[in-house]
Amino acid sequence: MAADENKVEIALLDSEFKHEVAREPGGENIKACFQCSSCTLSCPITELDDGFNPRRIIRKVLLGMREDVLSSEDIWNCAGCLMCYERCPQNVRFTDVVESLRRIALKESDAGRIKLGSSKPIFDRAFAGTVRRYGRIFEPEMMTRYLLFGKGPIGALGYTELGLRMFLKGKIPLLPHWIEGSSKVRRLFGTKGGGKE
Amino acid sequence: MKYAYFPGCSLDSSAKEYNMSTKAVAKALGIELVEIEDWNCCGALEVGALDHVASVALPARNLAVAEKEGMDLVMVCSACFNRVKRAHRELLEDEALRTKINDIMDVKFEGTVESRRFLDVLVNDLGSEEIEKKVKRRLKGKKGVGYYGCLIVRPAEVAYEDPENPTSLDTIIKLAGAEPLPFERKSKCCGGPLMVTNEDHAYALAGEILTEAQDAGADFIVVPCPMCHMALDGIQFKVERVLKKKFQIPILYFTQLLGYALGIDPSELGLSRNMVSPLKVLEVE
Repeated sequence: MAADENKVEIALLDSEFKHEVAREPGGENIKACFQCSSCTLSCPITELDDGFNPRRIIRKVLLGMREDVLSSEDIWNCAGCLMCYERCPQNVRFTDVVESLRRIALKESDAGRIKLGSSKPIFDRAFAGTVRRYGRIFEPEMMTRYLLFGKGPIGALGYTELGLRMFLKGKIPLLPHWIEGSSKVRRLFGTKGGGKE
Repeated sequence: MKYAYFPGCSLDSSAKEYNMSTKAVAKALGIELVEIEDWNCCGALEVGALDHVASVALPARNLAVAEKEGMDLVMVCSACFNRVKRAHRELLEDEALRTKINDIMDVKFEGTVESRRFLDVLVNDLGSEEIEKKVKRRLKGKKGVGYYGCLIVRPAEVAYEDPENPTSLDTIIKLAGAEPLPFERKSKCCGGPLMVTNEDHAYALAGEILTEAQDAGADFIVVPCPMCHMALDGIQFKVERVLKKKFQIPILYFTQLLGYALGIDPSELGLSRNMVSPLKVLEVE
């Protein structure tokens, strides 16, 4: 990584950011981090990409590097395996911290203040969109929506073979299952985030 | 033995064979699974990134339905189990959230039943000695590894066995007469959640697990999770291409393996639905 990428612009730091994260469900324990790196040493994603570093993400939040963190691809690359969560001596619950950062990032992106660094939120919204509509996931609609908007038509083509193989094994339903209580399930979603596609 | 059963969305689509084999195994072992009425999606790993309240409320609604029936809620999908169990704890611990969710739900959560895993019910409620009495077929000379994944063993507060060294799948492999091999990556991430949003990472992680199993001489891998099954079986052909390796390792749901051992007809276990055929390993004609 180039030296200037590591430069911290003190004038751009937002000292309120760590409090904002700590108020969000999942982010409550972030200020307890003492930077021991147990999270990073446990992380299967770090093994593949040493640019992905949970300890550094936490440090950036504590320092107040708000836009840097919220617009990064990193916060969408956590697989949620909970190894860091399990091993953290300070119970920071990094997996849940990431979830809180994702929610704040989506809110900021919806308000037009940042650009998101990954297509993962398009997937998450396509997923939640079918749950809101039918009460259950409907994969063909979710995947079509994600592939078109997240990968583009060319990227989507790369999935035709998998789609065909799954279809031939009867693993892709043709019609959604509307549950009887679908309107009641819709009420469980708030107006923010979850509803927007 | 009677439980409320929440299959979850995957078991209705990509993992139908898991649903079929779970029901067949339960029936053969005298366990009654009563599917809860009009269940909804648990929200999995995705809804929480958008809407925290919904990520707790979706499981709460299914739990409330099970409570009306007065039975513990049993799940087989690891993602459903992890989401429901964690939401369940949050509902019990956070009174304000519980009240808020009960206000927007058509049914009420009281906290009177448990959320359980079917694997836990089998190994701990029924016990391997009871299961062994009903075993009719043994896979002599075959070796397998148990791949537990992340979501049934972490965090420790939702697990029902040692998170650093789970053994329940090894018990199932032994019951089927095969030899469970040591497996270092038994609870290391398979990359499943990144399968479509960061394929490179997903192929690399699934590839590590398939490679270790192959190097160990495993004839099959046993899994408890539809997402892991998709990463290891569904896209095994893609992992092979990217890594330029040949695996062709059958990935069995633990219920398929146990069902086979219990003498259940292969058609009831959905064995032909797996992408990498397990028929040869199981010596099915």
